[in-house]
Amino acid sequence: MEVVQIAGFLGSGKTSTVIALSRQLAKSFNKRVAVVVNEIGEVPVDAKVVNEFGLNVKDIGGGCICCEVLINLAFTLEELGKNFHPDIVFVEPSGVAIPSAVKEGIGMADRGRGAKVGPVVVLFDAAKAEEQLSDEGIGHFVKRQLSGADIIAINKVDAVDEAHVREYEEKMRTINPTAKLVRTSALRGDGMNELIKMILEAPAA
Amino acid sequence: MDDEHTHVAPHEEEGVNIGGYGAAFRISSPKAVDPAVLREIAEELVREITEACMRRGAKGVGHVKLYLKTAAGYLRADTVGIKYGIRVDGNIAKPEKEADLVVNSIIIGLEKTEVATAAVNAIEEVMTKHGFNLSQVEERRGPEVR
Repeated sequence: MEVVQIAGFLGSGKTSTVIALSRQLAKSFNKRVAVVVNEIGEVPVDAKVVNEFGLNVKDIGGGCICCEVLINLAFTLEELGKNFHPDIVFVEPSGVAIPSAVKEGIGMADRGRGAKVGPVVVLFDAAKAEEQLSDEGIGHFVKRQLSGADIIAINKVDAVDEAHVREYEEKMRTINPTAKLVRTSALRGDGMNELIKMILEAPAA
Repeated sequence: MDDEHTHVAPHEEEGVNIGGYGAAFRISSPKAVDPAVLREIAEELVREITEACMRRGAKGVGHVKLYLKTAAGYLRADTVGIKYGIRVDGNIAKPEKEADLVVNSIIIGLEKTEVATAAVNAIEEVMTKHGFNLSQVEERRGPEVR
């Protein structure tokens, strides 16, 4: 069982990406996939939507995944491993979580349970790129999220032009020079196979 | 002790102010409502909540999401800002009188009490306009950070 984090700022397309990846993994790669969703401070919507696609989903709402509900995450991963035997578990933290902290939490939650801590995928919203990065507070926060990525998926490329994507690919390389880059549109399915290959080929953390 | 007030979330450290409001409702109408109309209501609701938050001084939209579940299927509607469009998907197969409605709003630069007031007013206004009775079954407010 490999635990892969799909992170990113509010509205970056995490839930749509998790659904698209999960369906493609099941259909074309014959993988069993489960999803863990953490929606801080909200009445859950994402878990209900993911469930509508027939995916095995657990909601661990009620606090920050990297500290407040870490024990819930540990129990959830253990339960999924025992009862569902997934090949991959996607963990979708809230849009205001820091991926590097969540990764540490996943590692702690999963200690001794034989799971592989997989790569951290951070989505960047190409359509809102300028709005987010030009704001001092949000820009710094988004950069902090991106700096913890093993893979940066520039999402919603269907909504912008080629020059815009290239410009932000360069910015992503400046923010996180070691992360792999992929262009995606969860809405259209663009880049999903490429992202899946990156996830499956990533070395264990 | 209230964890919400003792836990320092990562975005708090960056001075990002985010207000959230989520609520679940049971809605009912005296007559069955066509799926196409339910789709229009879903879109209208997301638009009204978003615009109400912006009128109250929001800096931006994290997301406004809606999930409408009936015995004949579901609809999902969401936006990350009106200028980016409102997406509605899912399917309801036949007219329905009752549904579960979950609405979730995470707004940047607006206090959670303001987000809650904007959302509740918009929900009541839109649902009443379309002849639905509304009863709240769950509510959560937060996070709110400066």
